Parts: sequence; C-alpha cells; structure tokens
Amino acid sequence: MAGVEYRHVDKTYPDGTRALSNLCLSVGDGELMVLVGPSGGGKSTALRLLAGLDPISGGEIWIGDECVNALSPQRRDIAMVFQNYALYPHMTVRRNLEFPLRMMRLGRSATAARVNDTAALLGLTPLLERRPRELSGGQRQRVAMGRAMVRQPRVFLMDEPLSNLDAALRTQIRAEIAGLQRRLAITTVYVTHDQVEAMTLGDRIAVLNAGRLQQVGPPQVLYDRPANTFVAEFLGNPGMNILAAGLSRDRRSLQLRSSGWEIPLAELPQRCRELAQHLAGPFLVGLRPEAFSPRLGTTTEMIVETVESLGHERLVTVRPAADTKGGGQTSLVARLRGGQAEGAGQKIELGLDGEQLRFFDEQGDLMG
Amino acid sequence: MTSRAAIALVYTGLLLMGLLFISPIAFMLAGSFKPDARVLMEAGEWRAFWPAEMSLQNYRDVFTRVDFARFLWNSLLINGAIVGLGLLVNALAGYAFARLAWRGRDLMLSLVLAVMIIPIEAIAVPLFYLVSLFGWRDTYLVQILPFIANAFSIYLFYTYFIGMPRELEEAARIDGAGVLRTFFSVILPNAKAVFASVAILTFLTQWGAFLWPLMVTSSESVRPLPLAIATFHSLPPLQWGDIFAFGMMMVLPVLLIFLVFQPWFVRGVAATGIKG
Repeated sequence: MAGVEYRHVDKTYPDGTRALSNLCLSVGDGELMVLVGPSGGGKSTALRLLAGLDPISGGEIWIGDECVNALSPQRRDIAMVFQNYALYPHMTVRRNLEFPLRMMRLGRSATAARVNDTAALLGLTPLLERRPRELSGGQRQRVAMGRAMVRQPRVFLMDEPLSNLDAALRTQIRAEIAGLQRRLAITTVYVTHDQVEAMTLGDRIAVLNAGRLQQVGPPQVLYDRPANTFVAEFLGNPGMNILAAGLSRDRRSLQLRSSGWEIPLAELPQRCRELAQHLAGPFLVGLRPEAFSPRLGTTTEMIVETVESLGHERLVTVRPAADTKGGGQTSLVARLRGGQAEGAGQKIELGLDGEQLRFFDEQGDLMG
Repeated sequence: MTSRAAIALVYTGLLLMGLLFISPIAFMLAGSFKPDARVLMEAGEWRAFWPAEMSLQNYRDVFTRVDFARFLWNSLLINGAIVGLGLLVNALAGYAFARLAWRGRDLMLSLVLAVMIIPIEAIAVPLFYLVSLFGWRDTYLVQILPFIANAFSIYLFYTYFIGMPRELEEAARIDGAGVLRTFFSVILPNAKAVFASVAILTFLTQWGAFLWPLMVTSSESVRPLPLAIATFHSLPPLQWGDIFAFGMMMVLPVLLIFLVFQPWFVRGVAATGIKG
C-alpha cells in the first residue's frame, strides 16, 4: 500500500485543451480521496493520468516512494473500476476475476483461492460461471469491484462507478464501497460528479473546476467553510445561496443588496462584526438553505415562488417582497421544516442564522 | 390501389428479380446432372432448369478428364493461406491504426485508404516483374504473398476497432496485459463479427482470381480452379454438362462458407457500416 501525490501536474491535450493546471494533491496511505467537480472539471483526467492511460504534460505523479511518470499502466500496481464496468464480455465472472491474476502469473491454486475469497466477500460465488450480459447492473458493478480487489493493488481508482445504477442501488453499493475500503484500507481515488456521493464517501474531498483544484479537505470542512463561491454552490443540495451584500451607510447593519434585507450588525456573531468592520466595497455573502428560519432575529418579507416537498422538509424558493418582478435574479432557496406548507405566491417572514453567514470578496474567495 | 395489392405487386417484382438472379446457377445445376446432348437442346425452354433424368456422369467425367482434386486443393490452400494470414496481418494493422499512437499514423492511414482504389490489373505488370526477379514464378507463394495485406480489410478492421469501447482495452492494460496480450485476449474474442466479414469477403474475391495466377503460373501443379475451368473449357471434346459439373463443384465451397458464416457476416457488415 502507498499514498499518492500529484506534484504540479499539468495536462494539455494535443488539440490545445488544457484539462489540468498545476494540480498539487496528496492522498494519504489508506485514505479515500474523492475528486468531485462538474463535467470538464479535470477530475477524470487526473484519474487517467494516475492510471497511466494518458501521458502527463508536466509535473510528477508519485505512488508511494516511486515517481510513476514513465511507468506503463500495467507496471503501476493499481486497479481501476470503470463507469461502464468494462467487464470482458466473452469471459465468465470467474475468468474476469482471474484475468489480472493470470497477468501477474500467480500460481493456479493461489489464483483460485484469491478468486474464491473475493467472490465470497462480494457475494459473487453463485454468479461465478455467468457471463456479464447475464448479470444485473448491481451485480456487474460488484464484479468490477471484485476484479479490482482481487489484485490487492497499491491503489484503487474508481471512475464514477455508481453512475449507471438506480438511486436505491446506488445508496446501497455506496455504503458497501465505503465499508470495503475501510476494511481493506487501500488508498483510493474516487471520481464523481455527484456531491452527495462525495460528501458521504470521502475521507477528504478535492473539488476541481476548469482544471484547477479549488479546495481539498474533509467533507464537513468544505461544507461549512468553502474556500470560494464555486465550492459553496457546488457542495450541498441545493448549494449555498450567494448574495451581493454591503454595509449600510452608518456601518451598523448588513444589507443584502437587491433583496432589501437589512440585518443589524448587533444581531450577528462577534466574528461577523469584526469582519464587517474591515470591509470597504461591495462583497458577497453565502447562506446555506438551512440558515433560514421563519422565527430568527430580524425577519424580512419574502414571496414564495416554488415549493419542493421532500416529506421531512421543504425546499422553498423565495424572492424578497421588495422585488416585485421576480425572475430568479434575487431568488434564494430555504430549507424549512415543520409548520404548514407554503403555497406559491404566499408571503412569509424569514430570518437567518448569523452563525452560518459566510463572507466572500468580489472575486468569490472566502474572507475571514 | 389497396395496400395489400401494393405489397403483392412489390413481392411479385422481388420474386421475379430473385428468379432472374438465381437462374444462371439453376441452369448450371440442372445442366450438371443432364446428359450432354440435352443441355443445349433444352436451353431455350423451362426444362433447362429441370433435369428429367438425374445422372452423376458429368461429375465422374470431370474427375477422369482432369486432376480436379489437385486444382481444388491448390485453390483451398492458396485461399486458406490468404484468408488466415490476411486476418492476422490486417487485423493487427487495423488495430494499430485505430488504437496505437505512433508518428505518421494518420498519413499512413490515408495512404492505405488511397491504395484501396488501385485494382490488381493496374499493378500486375510491375508486380510480375518483381516476383520474376525473386524467382517466385510458378509457386504457391507468388499467389499468396501479394494478397495477404489488403487495404480494404485493414479499413474494415480499423472502423470496427475504433468503434469498440476503449475501456475494455484500458481495463486490460491496467490488469497487467501488454498490447499483444490485450489484442489476443480481449479484442479478438469480441470482434468475431468483423473477422467473419473480412474472411468471407477475402475468400469471395480471391476464389475467382484469374488474371494474376494466369500471369505467374504455368504448371498445373500449382494452378487454382479458375484457370483449370478455363483450360477445361477448351479441352476437346466440348462437353457442356461436364463444364457445368466443374462449375458447380467450384461454386460449392463458396456457398458453404457463406452459409456457415452468414450470421456473423450480417452482424459484421452491420457493425462496420459497409455496403455491398
């Protein structure tokens, strides 16, 4: 087993597309690192470079104490689970699991033992003589996991392994992957565009956008203190509300621009008051949907635009009553529980939890 | 016109077309069982397609008049070698064009595609000069070697491989397989359709090869069936029944191979997107 380190890694494709810029990221031994980001963010590129499937344009990738830049995929001692599983269609499950071991020239009895152990661990024993086309999506996914595990590699790479499964199965297998990874303690780099998967699976999360690393850290830290507005809006479902803000002329209250919401600084926590004193120009504030509540400090009147009821909670999109035209520019989403469900067009009073207020400068970077 | 009548009309048209296309073979098949005198006598009537008295005499005659088995063996050997070696060479070339990154690949691919339009007749004379220089005339080798590498086959393999999911090969590489191992263990077993298509197409084109064998062979010991039937045709006495029997036996292997591989062939043609 071994850690993984990206050292100033660049990737530019022959057509000039820059997929990754100066990526510096280190994954600890036995850690599960989730690379998350939107399409084109560079997360799959980062994984393919680590696998050796694409050549690197600049920088170095290390696995353990070895720079693997010049090593072909088969010599990196890694295993990968692909989005479409990439099971060999002409081989039975058993042959699929045996394939990497045969390539390692492991003896016949050792191969059989490892295949049987892995199959038992993943509940694949009854399926060993079937071919991939005779399996369900979840079973195929398990075989793909098995083929990666049977090698006992230094590093696991997973490229959106759950995206072809239905929602219920995804939750179940997500838990299984987390359990297996912890039990085997093999360093894992896991790519997904699904932030729920990232939050629930990762020991740490690395958020990538437009080929650049935005932030890396434990899920809760990223959720609570996003380094910039991109991370703030990307993580969480729905993401953080980002609103233009400023201080009132007498610098005694915080004004959420275009929403007519004015909160006396005295109502805000010490941290916010101190920060506000140093602010000169306009800035941005971020509020998670759960920061709003009907009965909290100074409230303001909002008009309900849409309500999505999830049973145990409601995601209510509102706009300030002062904004009569609407149109989404000033809309924000609040996560509300209890009480009567609102109807579209209804006016409600909302206050906010100052503890959850985050400040970003005009470039979108976190302040304070 | 009602749709039923329209369908009936279309089917009748198709049936007539089908009969038209099959009639030469039916004529040959019927003729091959008839006494020689009746073949031409009945040629203008419906009985041309119907052997009233069945006899295998014409087939026996073929074997007594020429060494048919020898020619058949020559043809099978030459075509078997062209098809077998051709599959290996052209599949590997197609794979290299589709998947491996090497300098000058795109230029080479354009050249290979350009070569597709050059017919054998155009290069026959310089090629003849070349093989004469090597002293290869009148051998099996000279009838096999120039036809192993085939631009059209490479192109078919190339289009098929480029459409295969890349992840399969990537999985194999990560699992520890090298390029050749990946090709033989993972690609080849999943590309049976294109192999069948290329095998059939190569066999069909080469089975009837005439000009090149005529130029480079002179002894019967290495000559294939198309040359033999030409010689047989001019061998007195002119016996149409015998010629038809010879023709039937020459067509039979092609039909058999096509029937056996037909399911894969159809899939392969569909997958590579080629049209007949």
